[in-house]
Amino acid sequence: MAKTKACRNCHFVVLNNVSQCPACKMHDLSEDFSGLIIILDPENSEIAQKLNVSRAGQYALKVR
Amino acid sequence: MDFKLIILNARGAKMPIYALKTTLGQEKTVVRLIAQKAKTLKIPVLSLLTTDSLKGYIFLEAESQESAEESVQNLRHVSSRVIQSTAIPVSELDSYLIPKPAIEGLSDGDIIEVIAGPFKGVKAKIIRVDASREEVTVALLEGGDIPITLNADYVKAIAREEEEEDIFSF
Repeated sequence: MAKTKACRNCHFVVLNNVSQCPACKMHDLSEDFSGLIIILDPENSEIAQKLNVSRAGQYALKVR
Repeated sequence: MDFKLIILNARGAKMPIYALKTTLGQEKTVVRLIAQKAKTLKIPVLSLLTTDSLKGYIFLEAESQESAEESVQNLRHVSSRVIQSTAIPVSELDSYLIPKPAIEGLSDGDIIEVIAGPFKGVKAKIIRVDASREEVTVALLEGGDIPITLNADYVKAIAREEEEEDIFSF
């Protein structure tokens, strides 16, 4: 599986070769994260609403 | 709309969330596979969740139990049936969705075990807690007078200060 890292600001998960978070445009990415949430339908998902997520994609639960 | 969904809506849940059993250590692979399958086959799966604190299980938010089971059919490392047909209210997942800070519950004098990094498995005593940086400064119990500063995520409390005093009072 391709290595991934997560944005410390919005927790969006990206591939290791990416240097900027596509969601919040921050450069603060970390390889040390735990938990994984995949949002496919942010408009109707209750989990997405709970986490204040409006963009589909993969998110980490905790980023160090 | 089927009867089950009407009941769930009356309980305040928008879409039902189901738990599924997976092979230990394969949780992330499984959620990625389900997401890919749901996207390709347009199965109404809304979100998937896996946490490090609950190994061997994943949560799946879908339109119905049928779509949840359809999305995992013929996939490896995951049971094709949901654990229970009654959906889990999202409030039950709060403890997983909002992880509490690792520093919580750690205080000066506690005995901890380092769980990651070069000092993995070593026992130490907390001499200082920095809550704002989520770091603890520890003194190793077996040799070494140099204090080490570690991230609170990498330590596990094994004895509280009072308990430790009890141990030595015998």
